[in-house]
Amino acid sequence: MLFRDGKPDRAASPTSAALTPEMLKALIDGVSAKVSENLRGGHAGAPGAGAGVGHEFDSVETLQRLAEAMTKSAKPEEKNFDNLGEVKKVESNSGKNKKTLEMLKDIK
Amino acid sequence: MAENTLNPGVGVDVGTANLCVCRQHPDGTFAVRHYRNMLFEMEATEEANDLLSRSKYLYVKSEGRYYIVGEDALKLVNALGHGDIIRPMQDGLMNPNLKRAQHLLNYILEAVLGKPLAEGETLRFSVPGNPVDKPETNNLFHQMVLSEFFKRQGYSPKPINEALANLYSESPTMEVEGEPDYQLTGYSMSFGGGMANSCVALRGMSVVDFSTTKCGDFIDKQVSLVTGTPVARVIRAKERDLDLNNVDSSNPVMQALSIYYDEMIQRVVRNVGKELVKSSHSFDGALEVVVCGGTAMAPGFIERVKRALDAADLGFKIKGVHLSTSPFYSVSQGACLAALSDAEKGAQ
Repeated sequence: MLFRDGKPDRAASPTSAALTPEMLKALIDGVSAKVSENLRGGHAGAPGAGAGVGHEFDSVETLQRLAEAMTKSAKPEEKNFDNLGEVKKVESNSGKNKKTLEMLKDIK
Repeated sequence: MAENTLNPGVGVDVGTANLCVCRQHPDGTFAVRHYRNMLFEMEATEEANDLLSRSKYLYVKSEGRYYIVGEDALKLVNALGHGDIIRPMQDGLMNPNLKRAQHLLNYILEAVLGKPLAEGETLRFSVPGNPVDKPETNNLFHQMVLSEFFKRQGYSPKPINEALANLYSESPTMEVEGEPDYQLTGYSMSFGGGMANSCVALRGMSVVDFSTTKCGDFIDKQVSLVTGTPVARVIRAKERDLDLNNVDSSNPVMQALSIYYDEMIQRVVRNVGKELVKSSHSFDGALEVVVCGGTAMAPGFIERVKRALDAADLGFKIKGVHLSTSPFYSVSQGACLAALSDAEKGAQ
């Protein structure tokens, strides 16, 4: 994937061609820029009332550790359901979907 | 879902208002399970114990509080005539104002999703684009929390942009004179409970994606404030009676909804042109526009989108605008196609 201004430039990116050293550098720079942009922005959705918004982290690993800690399996004190929602059969355009699947094979 | 008749690869639309889980049958049809992503919180008093033991409401008890889930939450609020619906998610992301939001979401999600068909089944879950009108927020943490949850359930998860998933489901094309149509190329819009998501894609790859806030739930709250109608009643009225082709001028709720819908559509359309200019991308052909989401299902919604797009400076031509074939499920269907593709790639 090539990057422009720190953002993925998918239109200009080859999907299967080998990466040249220049392309690799652009990729690494792009990823770094994107990560810093994400971290600088802080995040919404941290646990607890009001917590998290505006938090800053030095690395993605810190954020990842926090995400893991926050999803440690918690058991409810009581729950009176195991399955929710009913299954509905939805028709599809299978010809179109097959074509889409073919194209998705080439996308990383 | 009858597990032995399904292809491995599951799509999950993790929406602010609704959760949809989609798998595909070998004949190409989809099996979709849907549940409202909402709660009604009650203190665990004796009265609440009595009410719940006498009723069939579905609930979970956590940290000394009851949370009535899904459609039952809406029914109970409407029956009581007071109280508010709360959501584990807000503006497309985990609700930062709700204590233990991620656990409450997980209890519901686990019961809608079920176990994987096999350990490590591929799964794609929808994530919103980063909001252009709330730049201090991004989706990274939300994405990580969901990914961890799905891994713990035994899946191999990957995120997919919500609007891109709709695009995969609808397969729009771009027409360029003298060339064959470009497949999986177009502009996808998804109007959900928390956010409106946009994605312009070229041959299945996102060129620009972003979201704007102030969508379904925000509109419900604003309409509630200006008309003095409880939110739960606004939701019911909107889902049953709103017709944007023929707005009841004697009904203040319908009038207010119509005005807020126009503003929401304008906000999205204004931003897509800006984002394309920023990205320096341009399109030589005419793009097909595909629209999905619960908020887009009101009669007359597509006509309003068409009018807004026609009047805007987008930086691309429009080939046509249409509502997705199954507007409520298309994000989960597109995510399912991506998961099926992941499974095929993994098997090779």
